[in-house]
Amino acid sequence: MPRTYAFPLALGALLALAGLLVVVALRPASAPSREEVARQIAGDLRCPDCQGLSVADSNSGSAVEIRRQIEEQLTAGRSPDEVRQSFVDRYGEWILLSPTAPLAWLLPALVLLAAVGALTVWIWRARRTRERAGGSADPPVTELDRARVREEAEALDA
Amino acid sequence: MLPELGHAAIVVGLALSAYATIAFVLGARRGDRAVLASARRAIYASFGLAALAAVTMVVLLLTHDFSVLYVARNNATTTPPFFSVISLWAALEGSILFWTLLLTGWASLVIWRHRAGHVALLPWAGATLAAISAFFFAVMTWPGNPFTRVTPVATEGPGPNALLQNHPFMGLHPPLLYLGYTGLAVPFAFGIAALITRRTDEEWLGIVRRWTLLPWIFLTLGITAGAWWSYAVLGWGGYWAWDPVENAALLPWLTATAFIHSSMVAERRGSLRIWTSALVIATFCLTLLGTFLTRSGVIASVHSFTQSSIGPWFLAAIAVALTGSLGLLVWRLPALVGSERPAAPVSRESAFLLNNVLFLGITFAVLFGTLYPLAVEALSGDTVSVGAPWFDRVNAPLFLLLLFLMGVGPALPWGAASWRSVRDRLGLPIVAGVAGVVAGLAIGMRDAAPLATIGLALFVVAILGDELLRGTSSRARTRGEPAPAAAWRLATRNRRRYGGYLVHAGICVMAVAISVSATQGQDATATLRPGQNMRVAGYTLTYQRLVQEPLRDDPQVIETRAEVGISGRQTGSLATALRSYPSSSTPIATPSVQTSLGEDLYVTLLSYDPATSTVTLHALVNPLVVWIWLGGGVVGIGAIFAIWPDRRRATAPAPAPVPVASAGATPPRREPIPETAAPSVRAEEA
Repeated sequence: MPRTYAFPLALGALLALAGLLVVVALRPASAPSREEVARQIAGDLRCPDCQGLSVADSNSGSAVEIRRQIEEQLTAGRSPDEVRQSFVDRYGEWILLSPTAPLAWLLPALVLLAAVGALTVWIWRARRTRERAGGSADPPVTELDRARVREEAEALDA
Repeated sequence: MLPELGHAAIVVGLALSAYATIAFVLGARRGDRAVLASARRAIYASFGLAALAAVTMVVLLLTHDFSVLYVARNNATTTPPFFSVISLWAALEGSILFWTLLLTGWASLVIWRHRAGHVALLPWAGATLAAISAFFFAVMTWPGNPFTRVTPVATEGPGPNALLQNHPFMGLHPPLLYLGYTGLAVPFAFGIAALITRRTDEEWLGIVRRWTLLPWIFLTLGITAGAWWSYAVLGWGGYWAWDPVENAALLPWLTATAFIHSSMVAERRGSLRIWTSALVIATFCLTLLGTFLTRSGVIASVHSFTQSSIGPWFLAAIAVALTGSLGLLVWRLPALVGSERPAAPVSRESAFLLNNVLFLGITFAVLFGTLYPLAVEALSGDTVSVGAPWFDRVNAPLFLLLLFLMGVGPALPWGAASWRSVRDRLGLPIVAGVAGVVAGLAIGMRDAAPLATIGLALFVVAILGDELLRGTSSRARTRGEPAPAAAWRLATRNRRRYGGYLVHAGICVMAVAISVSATQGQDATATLRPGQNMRVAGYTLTYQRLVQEPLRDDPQVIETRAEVGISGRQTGSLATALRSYPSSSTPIATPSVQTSLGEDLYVTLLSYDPATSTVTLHALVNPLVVWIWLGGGVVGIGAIFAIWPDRRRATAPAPAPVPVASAGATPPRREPIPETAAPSVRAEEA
């Protein structure tokens, strides 16, 4: 296929995919079964007598017992949040494998955003400087570039 | 007698390492070749002494000499020879000894390899490596002496930690990991040498790149082998728990990977010198931090088998390494700034820079998540947990972005990209990615993470395949070679590029396998009497009988196994067991894994009642898990391909040094070369 058609085709494919995803997302999803809800909750709780494993992953006695209690509470009609809270009340924050403090979620995101921001500013400032100097916005070609191209071309023909 | 010999070897090793440090510095300052030669010999000798000490320890373990505390704690008269030997790294003191052996080994190899060249850098790198070796010898001389005697001498010991003697992989995973860890001291040493001598130039970059890739390969394989071990031994059906010790291995891997990428920009553009120096420093400090976290008992985790007084020593070492090297970096900043040449917004350089930002973002997140509970506990006294749900949610988007960049990067030219060339390169790969997502949806996948991973992985693989095809076809055309020969010659003449592509392909395989196995698995638990069966994801498991007997090669260990017949996509029978070790109060699961290319059937025996022969089984069906290990193998092969010595290039005369033209001196005129022919196989398209 000529490459000129590839990109319009790709755009079409992306659009179609977006449509498909919307359709899939809008289709009334079957409500998660109680088993799935229970597994989800168990995945968020720390197994008390293991080291870092979740209740869902561990096979220790206490993990099995907590899984049974989750099942029991869900059957009794409690919401997932209420079930989680009941374990926090009993064991403390420690039982949750995801920290609840907003800082724990925000800080990694902020650091990343700051880094991406710094990189963007660095690249664009350099570009502006070059433009103001009256040249092309792109970095100039140096002897280093040419040497690399020659080297690569030789490697290709060798 | 033997223990004294071992300890004497350590003390002499300390003296020689300390001497080598001083001799290298004095030799470098005075330019005295004789002193430098003597320093080199001291390094070789310290390796010999570490080897002597390690062999001594292995002999003590094999002869079950319980007068030595380490042997008494980690060995039994019934321990099989293989597990006696690998007990060298079963606990703290032995691991430090093994660590020192590998570190002095790397140091000797580097010093020997470059004995004739790099006159300015080598003494300072040697001094740094000798100082690090001296630290480890000192730890073994004082707080962590592996040869400490004990009285009264016991007649029997508990044997190695049960988890360690449960699987032969324990003989492979720690050595690989330690080879990676210790090897990363080499780029650090050269980083320090370059900062001291103000030589962060191409010569430096070339050495450091090679000496980073080699330990990187070991670290990659070690982490993969560790995940495999965890999967095969721990019995919970997973392979990665974001345990602090797993994170400790991942952190230096992340920064080393970032370095490998940014070094390519540094090499092409003659810039990023501060950044690359900072990365090798960070990598080494993270390996020290990893040792500290693993071995000081500061974080209780499945891997922290021991607690000891070495914690403060390592904390001090981290403080010295970090402040010393960062101080040096700041001191040298004036010499490093000024040559930075920023990239065009859409170019391969920018892709590499963004790659580095993402790798460092993941490093920060993993480090933060690992240390957060410690910080909260230290500041407020509260105990909190950070576990898999947090790490998955925070890191998954970053890894997906990295995957995206892995595809876009090779499709972008160096210099500045034109919209047209980018468009032509991305079209078909995008179609491939979309097809992957649609296929995933069609087979009923609804989770966003595996769908996105499959789409992006296909996108990347399509771009890599396209690169290879273009190069091959142009070579086949211009030189009239048959396609396979053209592809092979093209790859072997551009080892770094095509080796790197193979690494990327392996990572794609791993990424898909990880995201699918983590989200698409199914499991079931059932309590069965003999003859009853259970179902999980299309398999029927029929429990047949319970067998209890001592292990043949270690009769202290009692194995209780449930024999189970399976039918479904795989058929046959398996035995899943619990083993009671004298050294462990709880029995250790020995899960049974039936592997096929599509999925693993993973069965764990949770509990049993010998009176009624009733068992409780946990069965998981984990899709694609085997592809994680296979992908890891592809990564290893690709990396080895990339650093395989190139005979042709090695014999060619070194290219004359090319001065880096300053931006102002070059006419700011757009040249056609980097646009279309930028160092890729695109030369023939121009």
